[in-house]
Amino acid sequence: MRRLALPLIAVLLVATVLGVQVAAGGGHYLPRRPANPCTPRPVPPIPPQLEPLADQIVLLGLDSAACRLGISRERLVLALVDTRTLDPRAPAALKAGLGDAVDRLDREGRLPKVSQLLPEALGQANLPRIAKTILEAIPDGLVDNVLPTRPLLRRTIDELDVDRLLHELNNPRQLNPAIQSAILQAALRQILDRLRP
Amino acid sequence: MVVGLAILTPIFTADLRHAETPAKEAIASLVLDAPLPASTKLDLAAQLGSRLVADRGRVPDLPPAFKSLRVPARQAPAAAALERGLEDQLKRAATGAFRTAFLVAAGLAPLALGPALALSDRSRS
Repeated sequence: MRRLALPLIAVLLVATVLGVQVAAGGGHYLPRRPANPCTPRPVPPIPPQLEPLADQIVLLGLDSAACRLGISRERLVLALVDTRTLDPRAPAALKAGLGDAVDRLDREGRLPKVSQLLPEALGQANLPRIAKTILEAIPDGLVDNVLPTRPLLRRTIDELDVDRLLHELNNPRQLNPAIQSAILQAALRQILDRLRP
Repeated sequence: MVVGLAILTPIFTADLRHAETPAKEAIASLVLDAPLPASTKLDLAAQLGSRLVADRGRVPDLPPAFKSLRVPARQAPAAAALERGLEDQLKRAATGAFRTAFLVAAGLAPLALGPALALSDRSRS
């Protein structure tokens, strides 16, 4: 009996330690798992400003691109850091994903009007003062009629050089000029399309 | 004890290596979902990347990445919450990496009694 006491005490002590750990949630104490990118995430309210809008389009676009590639959004983002080992389908998936994001926000009526974004865009644009004054003088109704938000954003995405953007991710200061240039090109093309008979 | 260490070391090393990807994904997830502007997130991602490289092979030290981050006062609470969240995720990943080794060690503990009992029998006889 005395011979068995020591092993029994040892087993009891080990079971107690394990029991306390499991009862304290040790079995589930793991890092957060990535969500399924194919399940639509709720979208918070978007203020009519360029950066929050771009942020939402990129977040939803990443989800859609990851869903197309069959990986998690987080795995895609981590893969974007090293373009040498990136899935060759990723740039096309990203472009398509961004387009999906714009379509979803448009369906849900969350895209702000271009006239709401114009003052901020003009503030950031590298345009002559006279051009800014003329553009500011255009009535909001006319701006929104000539430049509806969804087609403008879709065209901007088409203009984006995703490969170049991915190479410039390490230098965020270079991203803004590239995106602004794409928006400007898209706006010009859309205006020209409207002027054509 | 030596046998125990010889068994546990490769288990723990392998688990620690496997914990790296889930930890990185958890960090990426929190940064992406943080209520901060995209420009701040990109700056933070660059700082975190530098920390991960600098602390290679160890659990990364996050506060320096946040200290060098310049955020407006109204974004400071969100940045602080994100820092706490990231620390929690790192702690979870590191603790999770110990789990299998911990269970194996628990299994080895009663086995260690065998030789102890045999030695006590020999000394008694």
